[in-house]
Amino acid sequence: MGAGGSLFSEKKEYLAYPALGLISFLLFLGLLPYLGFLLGGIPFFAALMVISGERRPLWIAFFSIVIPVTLFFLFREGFLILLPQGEILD
Amino acid sequence: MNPDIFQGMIQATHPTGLIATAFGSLLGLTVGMIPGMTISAGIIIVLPLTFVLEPAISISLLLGLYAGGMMGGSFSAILLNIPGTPSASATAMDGHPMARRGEAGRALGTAIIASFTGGLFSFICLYFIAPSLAELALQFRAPDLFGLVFFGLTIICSFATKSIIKGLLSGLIGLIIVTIGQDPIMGNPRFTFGDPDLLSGIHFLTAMIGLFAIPQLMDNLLEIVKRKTSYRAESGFGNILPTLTDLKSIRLPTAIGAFIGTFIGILPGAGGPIAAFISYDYAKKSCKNADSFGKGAVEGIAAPEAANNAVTGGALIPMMTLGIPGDPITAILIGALLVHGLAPGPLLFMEQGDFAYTIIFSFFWANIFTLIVALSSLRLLVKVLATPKSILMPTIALLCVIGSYALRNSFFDVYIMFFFGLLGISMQWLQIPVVPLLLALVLGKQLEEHLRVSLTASKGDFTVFFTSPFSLFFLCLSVVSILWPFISARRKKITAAAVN
Repeated sequence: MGAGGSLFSEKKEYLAYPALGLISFLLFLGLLPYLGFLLGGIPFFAALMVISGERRPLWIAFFSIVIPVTLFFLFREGFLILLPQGEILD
Repeated sequence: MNPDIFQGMIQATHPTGLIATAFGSLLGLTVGMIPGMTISAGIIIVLPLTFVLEPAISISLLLGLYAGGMMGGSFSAILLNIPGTPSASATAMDGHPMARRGEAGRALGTAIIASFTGGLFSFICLYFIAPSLAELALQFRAPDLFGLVFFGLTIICSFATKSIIKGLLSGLIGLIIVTIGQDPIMGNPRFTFGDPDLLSGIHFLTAMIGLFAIPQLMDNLLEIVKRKTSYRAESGFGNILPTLTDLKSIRLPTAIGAFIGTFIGILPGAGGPIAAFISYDYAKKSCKNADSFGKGAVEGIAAPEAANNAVTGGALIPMMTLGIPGDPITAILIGALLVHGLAPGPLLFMEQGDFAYTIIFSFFWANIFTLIVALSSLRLLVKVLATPKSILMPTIALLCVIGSYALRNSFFDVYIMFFFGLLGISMQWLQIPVVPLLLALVLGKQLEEHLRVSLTASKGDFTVFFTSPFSLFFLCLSVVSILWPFISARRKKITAAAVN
């Protein structure tokens, strides 16, 4: 299991991408209690898409809205798992 | 005949369970196939569901995923020469040369049939071995159980990596983490620093999501630098049903793979990749056309594929009867059962015999559905390889958050998940294996409980561990498993010296 050690066998300048990913993850988690899963998830999704090399604005806008919203309502309505809405919305 | 067997058969064949199994197989085949996503990624996707679904249904889902994932890895190994899961590495050696020759369909068909046969063989072993092993394990008292769990941990530490020191270190970190929270006997809080969130300890599913998913995500982000954002495989690969001559020639290697795979699956610690390589070597030695191995021989696909699918049923045997998981996936299965208050172990067959057999028969269906889904929708599945990573990776990231939050509805768990992600990345950097840590998290509580119960009964006398024959046997095995790397290294040195 695990992807097995390739992360650190690479040249240092490549590490910028994973580092950016980690930073945006950390930001998302920090803001999660305030923004909630939906409001926080959309910019986080968009950020990760950009870091993964996606540059088409329409694609980014479409998927970063559709997937978090689908997940949020799928888990809430389908599986009765209440994801945090965020203090802003309360 | 045992009425539990009928009960289990009926419960496993329940329509909802079958749908869950089929969905699991489909998902397993998909994530197994996509390079950079392992079965653990698939498990993270469905983990939140297993908290709300009934235990029998969530187990069906996870077993489908397990069987499907093992098979799915071979598709990308054959088509792209990139194993989708580590267990499929051996398959690429003969699978890809065959695909380059224009016989991708033949290679895929062989892989599917061999995987199915291996899985089915391991089901038969599970069905016959598990109940009798559970009966034997019922005689174990606390000191024996301590010895058993201790052996389970040490063998994982020594199998997981070349460096036994790093393996033991990883296991030790896990045991230290397990002490956080209330102690299992008296309920005294330990290392909680007054924080009520830490009272119930660190849930190992939360830790697992972080340890596996976050380093994988980062690895994938790194791949993107090399512009490998998606893979395109030819989907025109002709007929996938193998011919009679092929079926005849893969009989022996498939049997070899099925035997070795099941056996290695039963041993805790060694998993799919090891089983696949050993069977490949063994098949090469025992088949007539050893020369064609490595150049695209059906035998070279059949042996490792039968082996890695046979590992699944083999690994379920110690998981169900002894409560000892052999690999991360069976560890997660234990976790999914524990969430519902069902503890795998010898008592499972006694107290919830029908449920134990439900698991066994769900595993049977998992293999059947994996075969059906693979044969019927292979062409469609291969198209998934073209899904851009820029959509897959953020989705997995969100699912990590959902999975860790949903377990106990707490933000604290989400942060713990991320902490373990960072720990996983650091361990990868230091080349310390994460599997011993994970299994220590699963087994640590039991280890402590058995140790303290035995010592309370013996009034603090440590000799109880050496006077009970079972306990002594397991402790001796533990010592051997720790010393084995040193012994084998020495033996190699001696033989090398003798040759010179």
